[in-house]
Amino acid sequence: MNANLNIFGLTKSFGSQLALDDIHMEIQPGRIAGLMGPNGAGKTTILKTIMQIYKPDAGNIILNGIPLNHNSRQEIAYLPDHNHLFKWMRVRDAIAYYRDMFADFDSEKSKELCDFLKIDPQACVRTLPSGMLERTLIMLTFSRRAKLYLLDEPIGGIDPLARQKILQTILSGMNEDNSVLLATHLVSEVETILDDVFFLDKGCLLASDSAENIREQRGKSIMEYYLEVFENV
Amino acid sequence: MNFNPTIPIYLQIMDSIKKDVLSGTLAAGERLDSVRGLAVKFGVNLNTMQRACSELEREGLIQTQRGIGSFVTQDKSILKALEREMVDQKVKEFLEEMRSAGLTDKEILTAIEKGFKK
Repeated sequence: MNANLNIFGLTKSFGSQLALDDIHMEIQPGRIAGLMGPNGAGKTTILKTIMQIYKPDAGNIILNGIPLNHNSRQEIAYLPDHNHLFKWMRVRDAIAYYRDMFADFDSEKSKELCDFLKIDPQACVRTLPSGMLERTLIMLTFSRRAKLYLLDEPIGGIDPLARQKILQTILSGMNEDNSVLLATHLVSEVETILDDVFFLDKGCLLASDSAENIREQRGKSIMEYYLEVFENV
Repeated sequence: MNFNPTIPIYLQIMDSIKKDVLSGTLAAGERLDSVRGLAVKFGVNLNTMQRACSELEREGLIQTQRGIGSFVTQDKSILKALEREMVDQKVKEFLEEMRSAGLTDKEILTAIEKGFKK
């Protein structure tokens, strides 16, 4: 089967600073991949390059068999690591905004998710507490029927209940055709939902493996494997 | 559910479902939730849940009817074998733990008898 996402030899520098060094990745449909590493590893840079916010210096990114082009963003649902919604909006305005922007937006799904995540559509973006804001962003992202979901630190700084609800939203949004790339440094929190992991440090891919392989072949948790890999850098 | 992150998760899910069958929480012949529903309930991805279900099916504990759903088997011999397997495993674990604590088999037996009297 064709991969949802292929990355070949992706390299990117900012000035003299090498941010990504020859990254190769592949994500198969139906799988949740974790992109993990400490702050400054290059996780956000990879996501932003897939979103064509950054232009790569070298390398190719192939989405569902087609090199990235101006239509690619319609197939990718991206959750940035900061609030990108206008502060003056209410949640229902943000829903309308997404519906206008993305052809794959499903209004029914957004209603269901609002109920499930206990989001009030009348609430103002400006006054949302951070847990609620993150719930709103995940609701908007998963109301889209996208092929690939890019989530940048979706559970950072959030209480356990909101975290659990967000993880459940991710799990129930999956099917055989779409996939998720989730960037986070909260390794143990996402341990049970991941299919594959990619460890990234200082712009280099240190290791990649499937989660079951790590448990079965190495007899380790993802967390233990993470510590082992990063201690030997 | 709390998983032990060092043991393959599909094995832990299989154990949990087996326990539910033995305790009667899941009756023989009862219909299971969909794979998708179970995945969300256990908080794991679809592939892990699918793996747990197909392994259980391979062992004969559940049977899938296309388009209808998965059911706990009604085959008494499979259920009986499952019970025996679980009991054997628990006893083995218990004995290993006691022996590693330095108890002789005789001491273990006395401890069990004492435990019953309490």
